[in-house]
Amino acid sequence: MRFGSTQFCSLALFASALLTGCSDRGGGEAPTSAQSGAQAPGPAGSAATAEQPRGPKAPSLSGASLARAAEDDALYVADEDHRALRVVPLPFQRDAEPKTIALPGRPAQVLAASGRVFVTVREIDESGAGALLVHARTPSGLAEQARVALPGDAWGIAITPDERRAIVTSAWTAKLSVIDLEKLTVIATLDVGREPRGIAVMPSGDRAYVSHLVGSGVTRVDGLAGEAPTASSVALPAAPLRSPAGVELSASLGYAAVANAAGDRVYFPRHALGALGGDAWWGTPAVDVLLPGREGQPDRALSGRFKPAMPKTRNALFEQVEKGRPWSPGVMPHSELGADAFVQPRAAVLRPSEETLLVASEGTDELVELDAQLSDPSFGVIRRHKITIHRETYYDVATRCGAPSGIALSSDEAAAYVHCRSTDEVVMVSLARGDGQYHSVPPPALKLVAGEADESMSLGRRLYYNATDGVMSGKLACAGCHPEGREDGHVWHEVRFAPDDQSDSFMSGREPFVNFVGHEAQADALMQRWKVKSEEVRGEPGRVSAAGHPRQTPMLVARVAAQGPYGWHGESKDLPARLVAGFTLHRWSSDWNADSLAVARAGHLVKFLREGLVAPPRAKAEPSAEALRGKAIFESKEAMCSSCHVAATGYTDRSVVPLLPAPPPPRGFVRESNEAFKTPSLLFVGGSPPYFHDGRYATLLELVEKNADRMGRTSHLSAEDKKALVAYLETL
Amino acid sequence: MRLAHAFAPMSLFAAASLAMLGNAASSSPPSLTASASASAAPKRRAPERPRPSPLANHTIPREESEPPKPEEWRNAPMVAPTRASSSASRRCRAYLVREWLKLNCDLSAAAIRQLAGPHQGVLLWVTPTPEGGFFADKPMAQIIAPMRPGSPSVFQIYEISGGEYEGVWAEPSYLLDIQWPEAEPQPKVVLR
Repeated sequence: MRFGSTQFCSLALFASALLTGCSDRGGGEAPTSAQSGAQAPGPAGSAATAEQPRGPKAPSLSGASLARAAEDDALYVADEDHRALRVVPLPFQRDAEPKTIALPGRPAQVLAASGRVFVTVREIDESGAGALLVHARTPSGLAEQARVALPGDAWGIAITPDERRAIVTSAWTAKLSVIDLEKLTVIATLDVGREPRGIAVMPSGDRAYVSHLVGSGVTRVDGLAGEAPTASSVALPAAPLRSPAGVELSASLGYAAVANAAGDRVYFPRHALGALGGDAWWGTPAVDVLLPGREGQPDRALSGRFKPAMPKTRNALFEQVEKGRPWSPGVMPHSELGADAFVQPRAAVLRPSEETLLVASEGTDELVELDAQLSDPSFGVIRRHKITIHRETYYDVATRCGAPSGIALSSDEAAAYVHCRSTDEVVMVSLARGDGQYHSVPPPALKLVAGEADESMSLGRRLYYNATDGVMSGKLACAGCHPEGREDGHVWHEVRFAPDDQSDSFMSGREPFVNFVGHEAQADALMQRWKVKSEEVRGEPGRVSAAGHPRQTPMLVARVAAQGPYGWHGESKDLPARLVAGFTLHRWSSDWNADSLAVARAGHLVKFLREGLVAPPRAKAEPSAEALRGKAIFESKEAMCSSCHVAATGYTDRSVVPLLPAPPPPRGFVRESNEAFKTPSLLFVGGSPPYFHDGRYATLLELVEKNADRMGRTSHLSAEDKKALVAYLETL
Repeated sequence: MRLAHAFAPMSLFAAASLAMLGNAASSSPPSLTASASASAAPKRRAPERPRPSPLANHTIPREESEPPKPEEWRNAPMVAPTRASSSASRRCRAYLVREWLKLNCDLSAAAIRQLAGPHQGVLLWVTPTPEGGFFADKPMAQIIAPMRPGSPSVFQIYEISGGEYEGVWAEPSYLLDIQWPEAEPQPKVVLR
């Protein structure tokens, strides 16, 4: 039986069984979306109407890349990089032999329930469609029971407490599916915001909240118990205690959502773009807590909002410190407590017995335990569990246990199992009680994969997630702004700083350097703190109104195959040169630029960027008539789109084109000094808003409508032509 | 002692602070210095601290009232925050009058900032820097703040670290987090 065969092509549900000869991999096409699940024929007793297995309740209602079996006898690991489900026996032993179940695509999350194990698969056999795999626990192991076809890039999974419903997010396609776990059919497929990821189900089972990798808003899903669930967006500004006055910040890296047992708190660990706190040019970590509304009341954020001119007091000694050490942590108006709590929060679980939140800090190779009672738990770091076992001497990157990406608690909550993605391991971390600290031997680790054949690729992968390597990362990894090679949707301020000649700052005498900051107020704060200046900043100290040139985070995956040039103005001859330049752009100095250490790192990263990152799934449907008409417009001599965006080379000729002067830059930025930009690739452009280098256009249609012939010629197009052009662009 | 109000709105640092601090000093447990002396002489047992009662055991009015008078604080019960780190529990004491909370911490505080929340009636106080030195003999930080439904408050205490030779610097130390969601019957107070 092959998934996606003609026989099942129109079905949303695929019931099959490995025991009856289902192949690990199949070919052909699969449904690209499932509006409502139809029941498929399958082996007797194995599919849609099968009685739900009975057994212990699911240890967690939310999936992760790692799950503990309800029976407490195994861990399941969704090994995305090797298209496999790994089964690790419990009790945990470092020399155990994990079992491997090959999967028909890359798994994202796994969830263990009563007698069943659910796995989301991002794309089945390059078909463009995602799936939920349902495995039954049998005496001989796991047996695939059914496949539920879902929109492409199926990622997060959660189930209701009664295990009658599952919710699955499809990241790239921005969909959310609600699945009847008794009939194994899709009840509803809902449109939601960009990059939905983690899911937290309320104890009532009728409501859930969804995090997003891009943007500060979260999604609320109601009516899960019924037949017509609905989705709505809920505003949840990031890090209000660390925000510039009067500013609501955006967020990124919202991989996880966690609800407490009472259902009165939902935690969203993520990255607050532009938040203030110390030297964090990129922003700060945040755990934004949502208070679910009861009895018709709206949802609210728990945290208060930072306000200037609030009560404060200080003594004479503090004033001396302020004058003598402007970089002293206490001098800035925002608290710096926990501003380094974690980097790239890849997963999170609550530890109810301690009322703490465990966060997998992908960038720093740590498991961080936070006080879940705080209004922003990132302010309350209780413990940091260093899970790295060994580091290279030349590259400051984990060789054992890097990039933690999944957490599962032991049944007694005395230990946490952590999946380390970049080194293909699982470690068992002992957890202390109260405020106690563990400075013990390295945690026992179990290797999931014997070893990588390509050492350069392996190192490139570890470097990509790493935020501790002093040469490369500047305290934030590549994956911090380019998660999975995609982008965070943010428009950064590219600011050129120079030492202030009048000051005795330690920056005096150094070369000017360019750094990215998340918000104009951040540039202001950094200038005050480090006594530097910039000609690209407008306003008085403490009242900066604009800073730097706008630079939208570019998507990397599938767009870095060309030899070169790279950079906004084509200033880097090739990709390694661009990466080395990027190391400098992302730090507070130019001292590291282009030395041999940086070049060596860039070489390994190039390997991973080009061969290790996986492009988002593409729907395999034939283009619509409208898209075909748009293609003709795109390739026409009148519009001239394809003369620069050459299809054969990823929809770019990489030429640097002087654009007609643009209208004034978006608020908070200064005008460009160089209006000649390298032609960007249009691959996957439909899924990476906002648009233009400065992110001024929210949609492709807005870009085309307001292009004013700055790029190609579009002003002659009718409204229908413009829509057709957009329809084509969305297929690229 | 003096009020430290270098750049704070004057109205927020009422003269009442002086009286309250005097009260705090007389009603507070032994200072850290005293504790250290006690530990140096093992035969002498340190006086037992009054045992605070959990905040959740108290009925806290949702209605706003005027800031407590000094005599009210004199008889105020000591309360245990909903959650406090062990370090904060050792160094700080909290008191309750109606919906008003007072926090005294025995530490070399250099500054306190309110980051969020209602500021009416808030009082902040840190021990002044002594002439010719860095650290006061009995350093203390004090926060008085209301607990209001729907209006979370956060205060950051900054502590002086270092010394004569390595120099001094300010560090964020304890965070006082007061949260009372409208839908919940009681506030939560977290000190970490």
